This record gives sequence, C-alpha cells and structure tokens, in this order.
Amino acid sequence: MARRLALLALLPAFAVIAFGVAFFLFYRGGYEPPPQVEVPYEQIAAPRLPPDASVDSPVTQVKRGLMAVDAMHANAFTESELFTLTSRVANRGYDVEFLGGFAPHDEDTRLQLLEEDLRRADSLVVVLPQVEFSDAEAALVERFVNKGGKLLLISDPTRPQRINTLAGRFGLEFRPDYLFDMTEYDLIFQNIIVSEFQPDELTVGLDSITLYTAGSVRSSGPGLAFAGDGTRSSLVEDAERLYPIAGGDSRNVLAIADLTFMVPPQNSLLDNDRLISNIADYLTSTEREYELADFPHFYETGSEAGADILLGRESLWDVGIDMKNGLSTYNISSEVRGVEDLSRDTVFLGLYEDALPMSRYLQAAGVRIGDTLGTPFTPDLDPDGTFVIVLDRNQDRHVLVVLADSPGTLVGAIDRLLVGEFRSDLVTDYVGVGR
Amino acid sequence: MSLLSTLRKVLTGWYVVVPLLAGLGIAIGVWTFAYATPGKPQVGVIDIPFTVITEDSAFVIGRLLDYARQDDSIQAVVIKLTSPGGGAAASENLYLETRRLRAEKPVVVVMNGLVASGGYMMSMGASHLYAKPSSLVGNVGVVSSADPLIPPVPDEDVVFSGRHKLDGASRRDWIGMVDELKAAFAQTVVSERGDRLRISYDELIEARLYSGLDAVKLGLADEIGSDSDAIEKAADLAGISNYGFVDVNLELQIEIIKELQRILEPLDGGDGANLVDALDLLLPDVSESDPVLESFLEENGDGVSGLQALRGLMLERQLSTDQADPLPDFPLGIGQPNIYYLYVGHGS
Repeated sequence: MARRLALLALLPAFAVIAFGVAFFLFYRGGYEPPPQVEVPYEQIAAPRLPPDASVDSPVTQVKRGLMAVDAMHANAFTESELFTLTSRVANRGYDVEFLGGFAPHDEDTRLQLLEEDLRRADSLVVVLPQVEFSDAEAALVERFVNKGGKLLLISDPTRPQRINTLAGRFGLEFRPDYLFDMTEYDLIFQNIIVSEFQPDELTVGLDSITLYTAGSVRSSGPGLAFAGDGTRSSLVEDAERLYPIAGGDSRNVLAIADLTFMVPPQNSLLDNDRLISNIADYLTSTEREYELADFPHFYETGSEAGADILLGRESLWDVGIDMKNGLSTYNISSEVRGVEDLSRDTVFLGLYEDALPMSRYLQAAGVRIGDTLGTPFTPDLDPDGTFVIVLDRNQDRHVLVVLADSPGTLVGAIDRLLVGEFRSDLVTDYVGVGR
Repeated sequence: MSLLSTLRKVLTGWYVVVPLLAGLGIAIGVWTFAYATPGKPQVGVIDIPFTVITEDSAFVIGRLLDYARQDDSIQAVVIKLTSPGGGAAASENLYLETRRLRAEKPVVVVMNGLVASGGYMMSMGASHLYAKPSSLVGNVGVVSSADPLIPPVPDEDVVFSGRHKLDGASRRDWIGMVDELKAAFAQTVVSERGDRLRISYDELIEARLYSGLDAVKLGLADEIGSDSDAIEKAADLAGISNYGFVDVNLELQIEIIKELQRILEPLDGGDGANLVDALDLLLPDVSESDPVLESFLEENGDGVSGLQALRGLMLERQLSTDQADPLPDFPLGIGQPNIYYLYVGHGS
C-alpha cells in the first residue's frame, strides 16, 4: 500500500517538475518594478516680481512743446501701448501728436507730413516702423536731430520692424536677436533683469529694471543699460557685452530695444516707472534750434507766450494786424507794441527805410540795405520790388525782421510767410530774399 | 485468469506505472503552466509612427498602452516612438499612462527619428530608452500663445462675472504658468532620469534638441540600439526567455473590429457583417465616399491613424455635435486650451 501511495506521489511530482521546467524555460526571474518616482511638483513656481503702483516721478519743469510720434510707417504698436510714456510727456507740458494717424501714406505725402511736423516738433518718437524711412525722410530726421530735436527709437524683437535704415544714420543698429537669462528673470527667461547702468540723466535713480523680450543694440555711442553676465543673445552662443538701451552718436538720440516694459503692468515692476519718467524728462528737455524755414514754430504757443510785433511806421498798422491774425492761426498770441522788449520774441515789419532799429540783426545776418540789397550768398540786387526776411536767434529769443521796398511788397512777403511759400526764397538758413 | 493476472502485473509494474504517471504529471504541469499562468511570455510591441500628440491620438495610444497592460501574456513592452510632442495635457497623460504600465511591466522605448518635447515627456515613463545615432531627442519645454499686451475690452452686450472670467488669467499669469509648466517638465526629466542624467537643469531648460549620440552622452537616453536590442532589453528586464511577440496595434485593431461586429451582429441578422456594412448600419448617413470613412479604410493597415480616423468618425457622427460651433448663440468665440509640449522646428 505504501508503495502504491509512493507511486501515486509521482504524479504531482512530475506535474510540479513539468510546471517548473516549463516555467523556468520561459521565466528566468520576475520583473522588479523600479520605485515610483515622485516629481516634486509642489516646489515648482515661476519667479515673479511684485508689481508696484504706477507712479510718475515728480515733474520739475513744465514747458510747452510738441512730441511727434511717427504713425505713418505701418508702425507695429498701438496708442494705448505708448500711453504711459505719452501721458508723462503730457504731464511735462508737451503736446503729443501721432503723425500720420496710423494711416498708410505714399512716400511723397510722408515726406511732406514729416517735414511739416519736424518744423514744430521738439522730439520725435519712432516705434517699430514696418515701412523703411526713405533716404529723404531719414535726412529730415537727421537734420531735426542736428538742430537739437530729441529722437527716441524703439524696437522690439517680437514684432516686425524696419527701423535700421533710420537708426543707422545715428550709429545705431537694432540687432535681430532677443536677450534671455536662464537663471534670473521675471516670469520667463526672456524677461531679463538689468541692474547695471551708465551714469546719465536717463539712468538716474535706477537700481534695476526689467525688460520683456528685449533685443540688443549696437551703437557707436554710449551703452546706457548693460545686460548682466547671465544674459545671452539669441544670436550668439558666447557671452558678450549687450546693451538693450543705448545712445546714438548724437546725445539727442536714444535707442531702446523693447517696447513692452512701458506697457502696464510691466511699467510698475522694479524701476521701470522711473526709467519711463526719465525718458519723458529727456524728451521734454529739448533745446531746439530753429531756422527761418521753421517759421512760425520758433514762437511759443499759448496765451502767455508768443511774440511782440513792432512796426517800422504807424502806416503799417494793418500789416501788423495781418501778421497778428496769421500767427493766431498757429495758436501763437502776439501784440503790436511800440518799443522792443529785449526779453521777448519779436517780429519787426517795416520798409527798407525803417531798418535802422534792426540794423544789429541785419548786420549779424550779413544783410546790407542801401542802393542795393546785399546778402552773403546773393549778388547785390536792385531793391525795387524786393523783400528780405531775417531770423536772429541769439540771446535766447527769436527776432524776425521782415523788410520790403514798399507796403505792397511787405504785404506779399507776409502772405508768403504765413502760407509757407517763403521757403523757396531762403538764401541761408536764416535769411530769405524775394521779389 | 493467469493471463489477466499476468496483464495486471504487467500494467501495475513500475516500468508501466511510472512512465504513465510521469506522462500524466508532465501533462498536468504543462497544462497548468499554459492555462493557470500567463503561459508563454510575450513582448508586446507598440508602434507609434510620426504622431503629433492630440486628444485623439493620445486616446488611441492610451488604448494601446492599456491593452499591453491588461494582457497577462505580455510581460514586457517595447514602444517604437516618433513624435514631436503635441498638446500638454495629452502628453502628460501619455507619460502617466506609460509610467503606470512601467509599474507592472518593463517598458522600453526606441526613439526613432524625432522624439521631442511631449514625445520625450511620454518616454520619461519608460524603464529604458534606446536611440538611434541620428535620432533627435529632447526639446524639453513649453509653447503657448498669450493675449495681446493690452487685451480688448468685450462689447457691452457681453456680461461676465469676474475680471478673468473670459480670459482665465492675465497675460503675466499666463506667462508665469508657462514657466511653471516648463519647470515641471524639466523636473520630471530630472526626477525620472535621476543619476543617469549628465546635463544640468539650466542646460536642459534651454530646450535643445540633441542627436541620439549626444542624448546618450548626456543621459537623456540610455543606449544606442535597434528595435531588436530594445526587445531583448525588455525581455531581460522582465526576466523572460523563449518569448513570443504581440503586435499590440494589430491586436487592438482586431479587438475593436470584433467589438464592433459583436455590437452590430444582431442588427445584421447575425451573418457576420463586414466593417463597411457594420458602419453602414451604425451610421446610415455615411456614404462610402465619406472622406473620414475613406481615410479609415485606406489607413486601416496602419493601426494608429486608422483608429484615429475611426474614432473621429464615431465622435463626429455619434455625438452629433458640431464642435466647430457648438453654441451658436454664444456671443463670443470659444478658444481652445493652447499649451503645448511641441517641437515646431522650422515651421515656426
């Protein structure tokens, strides 16, 4: 019996052996799953600067003027994006005019609008033009800058632009890159923090600013804000000195390779607000030099400013009134006076015989009146039927002298002045002679 | 009697009983192995040819992973992957699904061609990563769109209850969210690759794409190897030998067709409707020239795209909802979530 049971035990034994053989034929071991990886999601947060209240710096000087903003080169921005800057410029007494009204214009119209506007503007802001400035337009802007006008060029690598034909005139180039810092930033790596500045009126009071996908500027002028050591350009692999804000080769030109930093709420982070106020101060602290071609914009607008009108003789009263009315159409107030006030801007209207009180201005301009009419760049002329216009801009005032051989010629000269036709009569920047 | 006795003696002799019992035991052992255990082990192979990860493709890939997980005979899984990534949530889901599969079975990914961004995220759920020398691997990061700097104010005829009811977040919030997701993605790579990673976090978040050669050097992948190497590795990790293969794409396709036929058989009189007839019955408004159906039929040999097409067809027809304009009376356009783990390459 025991033998039979032992024999029967062979059955499960062989079953187990067969199972084992089969199992080990296919399974050499079991799968040991790796320990579950825990990703520390709870520790993840974007670096985020706390916003502050948007505050303009105290305005120390309110002065009338005009800031023109180019809006006729298919500029890739909106008025509201520039509002923080334009409102601060307005706080400083300047009017702000969007030149061209964001409408498309042909080149001739653009040139005409720009020429007209730059005669009266104190500063010009050009933001992200998508249509290139022509040579003639760029030359106008260059002349404007040379005459003391301030120029602010703003680009932004995230938007289309063709600004470098204009920027190049001032030793500037906006590079087609963006700056980034993988370790120190606000929200995302393209929002860099800039903490190193060249001492300048534009960088007064700045400890650090943050720029939002800023580009870099190459300049023959001074760099004003320097990206930190951790900041790189998307164009190059190696570290190099990068300027997102730089001056041009003229002190009157400023280039900023970021628009976004001045758009709320970015304007209220770090010292961005202070930078915007500094820029507003910069744009409204112009010392523009005017030429005769800029008539009548060298006279200040408004009720208290303006010019005195002096007459060479009483019989020219009506001519004086014509001039007064003409100036008023440009919002320039004026009064006919009997005596020259050496502290005020002046318009003198008279015949050649009345020129004596104005002789110092005429001499300074090289104009001689006698049997012939002489100027530095014309042959002596027969005075019959002629008029001469001289602008003197010394001693912090503008004196315009208009003389003619007769009252009729004088009236014609004033008409030409007021409608702008006199510009074809200019023989120098400050002297015009017509017939 | 003596003959019977002799026969009995012979039959009960050890030289008969022992082999008989041995044979029976072996049969029982083999039977038990075959039916009471998963039997002969299989390596499941999932083929994901160039696929942008969307809700639809992630659904199909999810089904493939699920099939591989649930089939007990599949002891190890190889995923042949080529993907530039895609939607963020869909990519995250595939990572989590792959990770879930890895908790039960070894998962080896062969990175063919491009495995970038969300595709790379998915592969983080695997046990082992193979690359080809020319594979393009990495691109760890996030792409999104954001509102304009100054968002437009809605018309007066739109009434909403909170500052961010319409946009969900300010532009700054949104940008911050993108950075957080980037950090989470990178942290996932750092955590999953662990000591194998030989690239710093800062380098990783630059979102570069690396060749397979460099990816191995930097620890973004484990080895250079072929599909066969991946299969061997998967089997090795599972501890199996003499294994077979399961084409998971094909098996899932067959399963779905069977399921369709099972559902449709009663409608078709039980005579085994073919798929076209079945779809015809299910969706009477679909003609054979229907582009989606055509696509399905043409692509039927290719598991993922065929199934995608079928799913699209089912969703579109079955839900009877035009998602292009789901709420015709709603006064505003409805935006899609727009965060992606995607390599856009030169399409940007």
